[in-house]
Amino acid sequence: MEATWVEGLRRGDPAAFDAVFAAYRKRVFGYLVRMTRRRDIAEDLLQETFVMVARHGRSLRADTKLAAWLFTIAHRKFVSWTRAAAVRRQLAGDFPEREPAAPDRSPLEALADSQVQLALERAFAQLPDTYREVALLVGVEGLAPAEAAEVLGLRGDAVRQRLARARAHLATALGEHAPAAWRTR
Amino acid sequence: MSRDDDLRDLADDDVRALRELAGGLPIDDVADADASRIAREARMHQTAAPPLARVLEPIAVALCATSVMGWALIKVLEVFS
Repeated sequence: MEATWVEGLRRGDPAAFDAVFAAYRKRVFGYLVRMTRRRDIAEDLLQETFVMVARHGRSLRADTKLAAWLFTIAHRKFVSWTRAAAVRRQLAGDFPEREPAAPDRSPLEALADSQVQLALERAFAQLPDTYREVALLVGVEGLAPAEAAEVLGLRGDAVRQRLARARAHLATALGEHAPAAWRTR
Repeated sequence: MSRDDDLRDLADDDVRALRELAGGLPIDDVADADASRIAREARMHQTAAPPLARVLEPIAVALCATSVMGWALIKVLEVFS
């Protein structure tokens, strides 16, 4: 199926674009919401991500892995947004900020329907960005650590190290809700 | 066992545990109306065929380069003939 979509994108087929959007929008949006902690910004970055898909679909290689490519674009959009927000904050100086800073809470906390789910969402939200992105790509999106390394432009051992640290942070934050194996380490 | 092996085993365990954990995370999505708008606006950037300029430009450059090299070769041969 994925090969058919890639072939369609290479031909500039709108149906292939729609299929890719339908298949991946939720995953990319979820990643962006958890990284930015803002739904409005995540929606903007989702659109920017798929604009890039539409623009560059023709130059894809036939063996492109769509998930890794999409998350690479989404990650770059998030990094650009973070840098732009930092510059805006610096330029604003003493003036009150026009753009609210990202809250510590994840907007997805409101969707949690159990204490465990809430604890889990909070634990992910409290991770530093560098650990959260690895934990989301590998843990939530199911990318292999090597694919996550490619998406983030890191070496494989750096990703493994960040995964181990993310695990340590999550184990502390989750306390009694942490997997048994993590509590014994 | 080397430090790399340790790290790899640790990562495999972490990956398994993370995926089990992540299965319990709430799932969010954009509203259908917003999703349709986003898809429509993004799709407008999709080109049905490569722009003509992108096809013609390399052909023009190749023709130009070939004719200059041909001219230079003729001039060199003229010197030695």
